Amino acid sequence: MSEFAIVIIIAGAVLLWLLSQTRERPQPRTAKRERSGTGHVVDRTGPRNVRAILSLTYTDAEGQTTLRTVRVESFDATRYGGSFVGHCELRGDSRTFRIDRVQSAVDTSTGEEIHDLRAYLSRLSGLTQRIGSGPIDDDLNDLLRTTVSLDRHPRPDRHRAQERPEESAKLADRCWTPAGRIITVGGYRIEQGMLYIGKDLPPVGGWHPAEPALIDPSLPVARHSPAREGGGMPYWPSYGSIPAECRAAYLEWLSTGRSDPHAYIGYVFLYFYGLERRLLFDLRHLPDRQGEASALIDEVDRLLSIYGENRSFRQYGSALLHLARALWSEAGGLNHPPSTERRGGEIPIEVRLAVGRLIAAGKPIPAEWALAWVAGHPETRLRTPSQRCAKEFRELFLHRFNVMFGEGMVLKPNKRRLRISHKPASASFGGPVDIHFDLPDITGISAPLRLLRELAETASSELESYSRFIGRNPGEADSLQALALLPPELAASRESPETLRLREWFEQTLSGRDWVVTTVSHLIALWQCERDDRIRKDELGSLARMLDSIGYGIEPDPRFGGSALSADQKIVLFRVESRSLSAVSPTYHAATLLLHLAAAVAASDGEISEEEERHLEGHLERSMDLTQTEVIRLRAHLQWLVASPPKLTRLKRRVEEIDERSRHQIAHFAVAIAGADGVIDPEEVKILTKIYQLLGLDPDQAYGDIHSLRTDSRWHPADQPVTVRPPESHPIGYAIPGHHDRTPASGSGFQLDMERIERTLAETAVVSSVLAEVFVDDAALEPVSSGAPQDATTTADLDAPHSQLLLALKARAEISREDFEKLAEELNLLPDGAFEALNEAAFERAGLPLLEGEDPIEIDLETLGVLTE
Amino acid sequence: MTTTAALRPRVRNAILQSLRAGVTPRVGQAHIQVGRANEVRALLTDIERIADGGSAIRFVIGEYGSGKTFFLNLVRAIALEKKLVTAHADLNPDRRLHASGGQARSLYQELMRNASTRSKPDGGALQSIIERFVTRARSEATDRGVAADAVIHERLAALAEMLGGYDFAEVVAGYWRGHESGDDALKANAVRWLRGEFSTKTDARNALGVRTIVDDSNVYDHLKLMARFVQLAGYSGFFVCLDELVNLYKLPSARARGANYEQLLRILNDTLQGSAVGLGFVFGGTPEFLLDTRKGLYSYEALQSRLAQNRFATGEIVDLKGPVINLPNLSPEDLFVLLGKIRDVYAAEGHATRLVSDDGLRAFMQHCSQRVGDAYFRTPRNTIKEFVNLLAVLEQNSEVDWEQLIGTADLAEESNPDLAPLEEDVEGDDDELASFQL
Repeated sequence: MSEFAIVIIIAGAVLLWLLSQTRERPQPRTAKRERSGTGHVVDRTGPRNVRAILSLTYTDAEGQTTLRTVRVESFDATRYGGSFVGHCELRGDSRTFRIDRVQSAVDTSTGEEIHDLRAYLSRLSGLTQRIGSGPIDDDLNDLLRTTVSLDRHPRPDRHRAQERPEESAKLADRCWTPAGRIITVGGYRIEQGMLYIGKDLPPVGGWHPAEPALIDPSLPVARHSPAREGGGMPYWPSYGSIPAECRAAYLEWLSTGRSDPHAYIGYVFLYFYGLERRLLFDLRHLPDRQGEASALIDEVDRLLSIYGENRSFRQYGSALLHLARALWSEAGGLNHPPSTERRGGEIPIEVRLAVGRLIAAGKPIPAEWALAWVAGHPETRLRTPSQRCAKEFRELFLHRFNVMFGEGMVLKPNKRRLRISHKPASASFGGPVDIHFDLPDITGISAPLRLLRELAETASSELESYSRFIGRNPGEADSLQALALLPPELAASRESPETLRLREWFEQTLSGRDWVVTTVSHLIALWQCERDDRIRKDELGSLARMLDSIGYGIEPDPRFGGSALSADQKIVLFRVESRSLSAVSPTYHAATLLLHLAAAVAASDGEISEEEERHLEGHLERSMDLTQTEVIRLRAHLQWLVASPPKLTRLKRRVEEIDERSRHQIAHFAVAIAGADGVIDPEEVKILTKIYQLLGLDPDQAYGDIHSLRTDSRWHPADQPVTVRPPESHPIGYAIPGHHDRTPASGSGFQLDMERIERTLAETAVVSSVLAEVFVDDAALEPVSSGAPQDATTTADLDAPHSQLLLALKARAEISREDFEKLAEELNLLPDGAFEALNEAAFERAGLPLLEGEDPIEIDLETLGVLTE
Repeated sequence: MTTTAALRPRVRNAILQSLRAGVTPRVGQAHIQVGRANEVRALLTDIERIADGGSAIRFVIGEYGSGKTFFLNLVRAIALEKKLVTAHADLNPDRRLHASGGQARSLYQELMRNASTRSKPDGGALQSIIERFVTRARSEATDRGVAADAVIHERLAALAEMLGGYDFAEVVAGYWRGHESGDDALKANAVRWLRGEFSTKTDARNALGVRTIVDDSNVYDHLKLMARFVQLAGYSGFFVCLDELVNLYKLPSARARGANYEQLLRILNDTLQGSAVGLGFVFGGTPEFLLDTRKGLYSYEALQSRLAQNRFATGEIVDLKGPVINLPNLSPEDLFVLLGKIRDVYAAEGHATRLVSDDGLRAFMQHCSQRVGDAYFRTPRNTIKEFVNLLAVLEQNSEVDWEQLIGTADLAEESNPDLAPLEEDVEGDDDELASFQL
């Protein structure tokens, strides 16, 4: 053991030597550490400020290793067993890095390769302990602690200002030049004030020898050669220590309105340090000076408006702005709308403050703040659309939120109190400033956040196709095609010249009527379709959605069962009242199917007479549970059928192709629909027999089927005598008794057996698939797969489009989710389906997945090799 | 059993990270599985039966720390490998099998969020399943030369016959329509409906034209529908893992408890009678949950008679055909093998080889038993965590020997058995990491 002690003592000696070395380094945090003061025990926890720019090889939690340049801001010896916070240039954001995940590090300012990062950072941070990694630390540290406090004082002065803040603030107040007082320094006349001028003002805390923002007029200023580009300015400037040329440039900037947008940002920071100190330290201890706050806040705001382009300045500036508003302004910052910008790893302070304030007051949280809350939360991951179409996303979120919560969400206050740990830009503070508020801290609330996140998620996924379009066609955000992709709420409020033109055309064409039949070619011209002889299904779909939002409809509509149309076909335009129809009920589908059949039949004896038309319409509207919007659409659909009756010859040919069982199914379905209102009148019987004929079935069978509809227990258990003919009130037709627990249907009292309708509808799906083949026109049939030629080579048991996708992935290590979706779309594949299909093939062949991860998607090159062999 | 062929770096890191954080790994369990061949084989048979269109149900009963969760995850991984779709959730007061205040729907939501396939083993695979269904239907349509619509409807017809299946089919068809007409809102709504996120029928009707939603009363029916659906999409079956069943036992209201057990009975009956096709359940719970005759499953007569231990299986003789699988606690020998396996995982892929010798393992266990007594192998969470930390230190400090460090592992006896909630996967939330002292 004694050997070990010796080792420790030697190590301690080395360390002391290291410490003495660091004094010569220009690192502000460690410079001049021998200032007088009493030694004290170093506190080992909590973050310490550190300035260094490192080049790192870093392996993140997902196991990915990347090379990054990181501007280190603080070091925490205990968190995650040693970690530091820094601005990562790769991610463009502040991140926490764990030392144990750093593979290698180089200090970019010296080029020195750092073998023991922990020790290095400890040294820079002024922490004397925990040098070297592993278990030796603590003992070494104990040793050091005693040694160091005997003759050296690692952090003298640190508490001077903080222990007697009032005095320090009073001292600072004597140096403070308020707004409007004119001063002259080094020959520069400075008008706006808001500066510390004088000598010997200690910093708020930390190790800086003097307040960095303090302008000492006695220091030399090189007027003849101001360093306007900032040459010679250290990363962490202080007026007292920068070269005379820099002082000249700084004073020049101060004297010329402090608004030169091209000024070197270091000078802006230097000035900003003073504002920061005034707002966050002096004013808190000088109650009679608090009137200054609003002018100072405005000044910060002004600087931000000029220098906000600089990321770093924006970050510090807006953080100060929001905190200062919360501290000093009446409304606590609530009347300033929050930004949804992401800042570092936590919810923006203004949001925590404002939402906390609202909760404490029992007031509803309005949409804007709710959005700022969810968007600013570090665990919220918003997808591309929310960034690319930030404006639309915001609008949609706010709209949805308002629909859901009205004035806002009211939450019960939680117990956790709000403590803001603000990281000032100025070294004067020597670390984060903690400010406590008697408000609930929303970081501890999760339930409403989940709800908000869901809302945001929905909003962003609904904007996805719009976002994709904008991504591919930048600059066409206002085109009709783009607007058509917007959710209806947004589209309705977006008036572009093109929508106006569209509306005008519709009004002209309709000229006061509720509906009108026209040819598709007009729409093709209007919508600028890809081909001029036909309109694709998705084109028609987006047109229909666009029209929805401005109050018109088309029929056939691909969303409700229409398909692609060629230029010479007919189409019905009509007005719609309600704009909320995004899906129709199965009832509606059933109704259109019967219309088709009936139209085909009616057309077989020439044309559809008006009487037949009215009858069909009336029957369907009465007998089926349709909403008003559906009724309007159904009428338009009927008009379309009348205008372009299904061609009988082709229909017959197709009918012959389907098997007898399906034909029977269709026939039964028609009977069931006809009987849905409880009555089958002779007119209907006539149509039904024709349908049977059309289907190549024996028309006599129709009577049998009508009969079995009434008696078949599957449809309706006959638990009482069947009323063949009700007295008087029903001169023609057959009444079918109602459900056993209801009164039998009588002529006037109109009753529907909903259960039976349900059952009928269940058949719709079966029938519609059969009918889809029957009624789709040849001309309009979609090409089976547009992207992939059928003779393309196939790989690894995949079909042609999937093989092509596989080949497209070749030679890539990863692909962004967006690019993958785009590729899939080009090949007419569904992205997630393709993901599964490729992986399945990969598992078959190589036993390993090919694609992993969400965004970006990683591609296993080895597996890819096996697959494409 | 799955082969332990290649250990990929991604899997290696995932295993070590989970162990370090004191949670059960979600991938690569096979690499550190120790013993339990019979139990695994029993579940494997179950899974194969499900894949063949059968059904299965198991209650995995074990003490705190006996590795229930690990076992469930392993079984889940096997199920994925066998091309089943899996879904897992922990029961808690807000997530129950039966409820009237939305807790059952909430369980369903959690299950759907965690739905996984072999290629998406970390959950969130619901959309993939839907798209896989559509993709298959489409390629079939291409082969047969008919419209995709027709094939989709034809396939969905099988669902429409089941309870609540008509709307289910309608929603899936809606997804396809949305895709075809470029209507992302419709697609998103379809997925939301299937995930049980619609809370009112009116909303669902407006968005999708359907009359029903997933609610507390039809959660099980929807699981059955989902089982049918994943088969239609080309997967072999649907495997549901529910852990922490002790939360049902802890329900204070006897009525609520009874209702939940009734739901269990319904699942059990369906499964044993084979009326749930391609659907399997595995439940994880503690012995008191099963055996307590006042509040446990045994308090419910109908369940008790079905679950009672085979009278002939006592002591060493086990019966793995019954629905209950009793997991024995880990023995010191098991732990020794486990630590060895962890060491090998650590040393895989060109990372420093064999950091600790077998003697080192023994010494480490010796140390653990001195510090915490016998509990160290019964509740191995901390032991394993410290062991991984030890390996990490050894790897990074090549000059240090294990002999120097083993005595320093700081172990505390684990407290709060039972309901220790599984930690969320917070990145590196392991402050104890640096707790070595000399």
